[in-house]
Amino acid sequence: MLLGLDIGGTNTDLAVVGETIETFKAPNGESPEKILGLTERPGRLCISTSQPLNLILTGYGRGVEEILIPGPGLHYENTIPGYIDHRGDILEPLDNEAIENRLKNSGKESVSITAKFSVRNPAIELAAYNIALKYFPEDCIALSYKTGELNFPARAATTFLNAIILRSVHSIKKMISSIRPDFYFFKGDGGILPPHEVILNPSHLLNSSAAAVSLGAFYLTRKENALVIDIGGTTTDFIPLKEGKPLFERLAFQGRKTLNNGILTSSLPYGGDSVVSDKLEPRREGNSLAFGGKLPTLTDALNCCGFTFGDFEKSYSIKNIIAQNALEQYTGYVKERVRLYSPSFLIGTGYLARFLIPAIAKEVNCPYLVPDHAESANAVGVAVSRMSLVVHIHADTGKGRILFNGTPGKLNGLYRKEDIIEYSVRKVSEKAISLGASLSEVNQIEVTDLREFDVIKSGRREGSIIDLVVRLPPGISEEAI
Amino acid sequence: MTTGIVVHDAYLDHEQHPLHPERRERLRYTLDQITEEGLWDDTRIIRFTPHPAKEAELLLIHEPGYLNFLKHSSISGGFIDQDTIVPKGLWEGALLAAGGAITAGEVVHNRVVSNAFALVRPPGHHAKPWTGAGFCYLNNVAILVRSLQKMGYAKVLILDWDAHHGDGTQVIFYDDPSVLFISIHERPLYPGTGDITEIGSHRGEGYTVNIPVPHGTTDDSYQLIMGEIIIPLALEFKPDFIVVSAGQDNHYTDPITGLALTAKGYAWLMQETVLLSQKVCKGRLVAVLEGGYSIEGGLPYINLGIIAAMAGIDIRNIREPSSYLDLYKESIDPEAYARVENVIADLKKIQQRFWTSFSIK
Ligand SMILES: [Zn+2]
Repeated sequence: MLLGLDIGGTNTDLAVVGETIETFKAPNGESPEKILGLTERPGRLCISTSQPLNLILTGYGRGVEEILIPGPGLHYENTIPGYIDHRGDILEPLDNEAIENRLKNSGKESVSITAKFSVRNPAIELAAYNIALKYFPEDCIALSYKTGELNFPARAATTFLNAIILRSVHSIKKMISSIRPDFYFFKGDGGILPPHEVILNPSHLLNSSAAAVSLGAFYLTRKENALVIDIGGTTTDFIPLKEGKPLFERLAFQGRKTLNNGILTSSLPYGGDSVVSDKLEPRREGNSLAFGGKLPTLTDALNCCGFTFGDFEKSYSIKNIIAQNALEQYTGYVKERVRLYSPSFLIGTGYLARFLIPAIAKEVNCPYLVPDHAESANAVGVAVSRMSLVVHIHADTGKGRILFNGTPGKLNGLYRKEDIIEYSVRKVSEKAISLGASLSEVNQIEVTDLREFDVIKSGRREGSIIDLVVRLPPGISEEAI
Repeated sequence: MTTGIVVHDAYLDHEQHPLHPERRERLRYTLDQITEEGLWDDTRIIRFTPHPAKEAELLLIHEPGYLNFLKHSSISGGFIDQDTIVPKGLWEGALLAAGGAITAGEVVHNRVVSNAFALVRPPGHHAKPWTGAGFCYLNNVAILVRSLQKMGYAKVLILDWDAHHGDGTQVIFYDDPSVLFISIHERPLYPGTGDITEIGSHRGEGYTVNIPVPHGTTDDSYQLIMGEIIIPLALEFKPDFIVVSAGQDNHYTDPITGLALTAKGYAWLMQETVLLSQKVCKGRLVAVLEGGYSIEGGLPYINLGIIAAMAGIDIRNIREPSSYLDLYKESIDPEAYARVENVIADLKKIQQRFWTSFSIK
């Protein structure tokens, strides 16, 4: 059995996928223990938490002390001296005193530490970490080397994000583990990982909603090329699928590009809870009248036109003509957006999809499907996903170094390219299995971005440098196929 | 300001021999540095994939017999000189290097970017119409200059600051007053040419300007040359386009030369060249990589400095790691500056009949 839980903006959705599919919806505000109570069934539990994490990002407390250790190169303000070069050699030592002074008087909630080329040798970041531990709790310090990728500014932006959410992810992990220790987190790339692995780079958890919806929509319809229209409470999201997969783009935070990719989506600021005054407005002020709210909404407008959501008679305070206009306004916006994609197929998901998509599809003259469980397609996506893993590997045989996502490993005297590739794949496979991947999933592991060249010193071959990325791409769990 | 970077995987693949100074390793660390500095994400930097040069473009510079030799010896390997063998598959790589220089010219011409840097290998400035030499096969810069002239830029200034004299480029434009060739290079050093008395011939007299500098020459001498020679000549010549033969073997860590330029010095030199191009030719500027063999220690910092200067990115923190300081001290010659002053004075005397900027009033 596969269990998927998606903690959204207004509701938490649960899906149980086995011989059959069952889905449940619970309004947020219920205690987490009660929602988790629903999951007291055998099987694998995956949880998507992007909504609560997004909320933290919009109003994070006292902020982050950002430590940059760039050494020579492009100019940054307010930096700490220290430098590791492209081969991972420490050429300028960390200025302990400077970092001590910064952290001692910081007054910030958490700290992010990014040193140039730290993915080639984490020593400087680890030295800074040891100083930071004097002033900050362990779960408030984020180090950049664990992201594994070259790109100092993007690594700094990613680490900054990690510093903001690290503590919350730790506490979510703790809370859920106390009830259900063997759960997985669902990530923004549509894959899952156990919590102790996610903690190394928790920014991977962000923006997982679109991943959940697109995976669920594909799983429930098996339509490879389609436009998913997900009608939520506050927004309507559009996610194109190509060959069964969404498209990705680099994510930015506060105008800084991060290392992470997020699913390419576009959004309209209208959904089932959007306020209807004399017209449909792009804001949410709580629930619909039919669900105990104070202002009429798009859902109430639907009730005025003959539907029966919730306590539907409470919706009748809207004038019929206004309700009809609001609906037309909404479908007009959606049609206009759909036409931009010229889709060959539409998949509707979300609570209202069943009632709104057929008319929209007819007007844009496009075949469509609103599958069973469309209301909780996101939770279905979370349930049926499988492990994904990306490991950046850098081997420098002359220096006797190999790093897996910035973390030093043992090269064991290997020096031939073929042996190092094989060793890397074996290491990642072993890791995937230890994290819970099945053998057939591990067979999907692929090697990309391979680069190799010899290092010559004083007219002799000193060794070679090999870079590669070993990845287990996201997909659908074999148990769900 | 935006800067185009022309780069291709093939530029990383060319190799005469794994131990040759002009080897595959040369660009790898630079690309690591550019990637680590996040420059590919910077909106001021745009990456371009080159197209191979067409044979018609090569024929504007090289003799058909030499091109045939190069093409055929690329099939199973061949020999030009001790430093310059023809490895298998060279032809395609060389076409892509020359094409990279042309691509850089095109993206500037079409105003896709303000200026561009072609990070090509193999280099080109020793290649002559009839032969390759000194690690070079096709004269990338000369091929670019003729392409630019076809695009309508009648007068082109070539600034060759590679540590070696650009003898190939000099020969090609020796009679040609439409191309002002200025070279700063170490002497004595390969190929041995580049005396101040080599000034061009026939209608090209005065359009070849050689500035030989001694072993141990540092940043301040280059600054002096910029102010005393290059800027006045450019203002007087009024080129429509500036092309830099950007050799990086003047760096103090370079193993095969004896100059002592720093990464900051390079960045400054490029910044001045950018300003000059803005003054005389609406910023139209292309740099093409030539030599540079301080593969691990120098090139990443130099290339970063050059790119930053071209794109108008703050260069104040461009420098080598402080652990290089002793090596720098060993490389400099405190007397070099005075010798450069003498060279400048002698050069002005020789060139003053062609350039009013140098005439003694
Ligand atoms: Zn050279």
